[in-house]
Amino acid sequence: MQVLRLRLQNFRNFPSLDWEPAPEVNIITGENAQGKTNLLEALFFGLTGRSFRTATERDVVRWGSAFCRVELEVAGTGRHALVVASLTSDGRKKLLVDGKAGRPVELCGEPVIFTPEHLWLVKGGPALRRRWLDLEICSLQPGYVRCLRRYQQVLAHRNRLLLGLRGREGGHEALEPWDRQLVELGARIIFWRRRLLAGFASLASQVYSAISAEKEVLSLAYLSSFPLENAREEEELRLLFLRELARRLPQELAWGQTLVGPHRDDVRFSINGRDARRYASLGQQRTTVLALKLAQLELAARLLNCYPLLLLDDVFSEIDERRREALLGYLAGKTQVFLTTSLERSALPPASGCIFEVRRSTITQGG
Amino acid sequence: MEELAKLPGIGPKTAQRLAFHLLNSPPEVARELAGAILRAREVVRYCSVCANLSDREVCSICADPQRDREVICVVQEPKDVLAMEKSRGYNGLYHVLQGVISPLAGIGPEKLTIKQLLARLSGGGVREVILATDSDVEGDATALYLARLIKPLGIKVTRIAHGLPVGAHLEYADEMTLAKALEGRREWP
Repeated sequence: MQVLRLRLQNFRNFPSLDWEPAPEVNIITGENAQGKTNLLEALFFGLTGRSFRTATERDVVRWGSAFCRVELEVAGTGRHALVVASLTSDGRKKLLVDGKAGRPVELCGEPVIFTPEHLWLVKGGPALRRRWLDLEICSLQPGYVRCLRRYQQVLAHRNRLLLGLRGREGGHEALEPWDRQLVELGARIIFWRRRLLAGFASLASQVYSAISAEKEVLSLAYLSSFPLENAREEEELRLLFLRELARRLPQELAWGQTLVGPHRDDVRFSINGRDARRYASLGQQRTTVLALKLAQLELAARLLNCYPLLLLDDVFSEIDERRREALLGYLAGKTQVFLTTSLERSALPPASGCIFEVRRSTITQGG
Repeated sequence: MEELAKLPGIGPKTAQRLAFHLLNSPPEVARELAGAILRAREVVRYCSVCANLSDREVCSICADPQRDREVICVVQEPKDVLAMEKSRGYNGLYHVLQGVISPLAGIGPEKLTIKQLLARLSGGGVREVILATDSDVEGDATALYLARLIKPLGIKVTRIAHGLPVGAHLEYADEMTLAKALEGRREWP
């Protein structure tokens, strides 16, 4: 998938823009606050109708304008298309593919994006990693959302029951219908999460080794709130989950809360066997997230039979020159990449791609 | 107008239209409507057997000698009985739970008509209980709870099938529905 041309009208700080990016790596340089990230946002918005930065989408409309418009000429698998996304300042949005309402992501896949905020994947709490994993599964497994939602509902009912039973004798049989559902849905969630993670793990560690010249090894592990032993099938997971629920019941009654299940699970990233959340340096954290994003790119490519767009925001800070070079080497010839950096040109690895400079809302090619 | 707007499914616009209609019609229309509402409110109660709404002590379904007394279909609300009856595909009896188990809403089994149901079943003569609560988590929990109580009585317990709507195309079904439909498959023909 490739963007041949990008046209903007009233998007963020760009009153208008007409740009033909290079087919491979596009390095967007420029000082702070010139609109580098806005350009990535425009590409993402054009293809998805969403922003990756803000919950209030109207912010993308240039201050004082009535509407914004992003127009993309794209080449997908053997097909050209004109994609137009527009948003008015009162929140009306339109997504058109060749003049008809449509979903551009069906044509070329969801863009994969890295932003510095994604570092929470390594440093943040377990809930953030669960959410990341769940979102990834949702994009591959349409029924998974419903399964998650039902699990949350059952969990809420069960917690309320436990709270009511706290400090009382008996009445435990009321839990049974909820336990059965919790175990069935929970086992399915764990099954899918482990399966996705297994797919991610080998890809991510390959990418990590490629980028980290010093031969560091990244590994991913699913941390369950109960021992999974060697269970593979959903049926085995159900039995183990059920057994653990029975074992922990006295404690759950004391706390008034469900203490085991996928809602308490986590993912552990380790670098050379050490927990990245606790020990990784900033550069290692960044490389870890980058490896995850590139693994996601590879997974999506297998699914779509073509690479989706890759957007890398401020990816070079905190990683050393060797890793920068290795990253660009890895990306070369793979897919179209848009990469922003505030580094000086002289600090960029040689022959790294097509360099553009964004300055005061205009873009120029710089050698 | 404000009184009418309190009714379910009636917004301010509809309330206004109804009010003007009643005011513009002859006085008898309003009197008849008011009378009907009052009579219904005074006469209608719960059937002493199945807990469905009825204008008599025992509802017309429970009293009907033509119906199969060996099968009881357990539903959540009186409106579910109406839906089943419209299908004309069922000739057994009903039992209306008057809700579902929902700890979050503070509804436990004791607030439903489960005791009456068990009393009915222990009276003997029932061969099968069909659990026709909704397929959401509360409906499933209620069905699971009932199945556990009824099975030991030696009565066959079945759950109404959930899956593809009649006439539906497979390609439009979501994955969960398809999975349920697969689970509930049976030998054919």
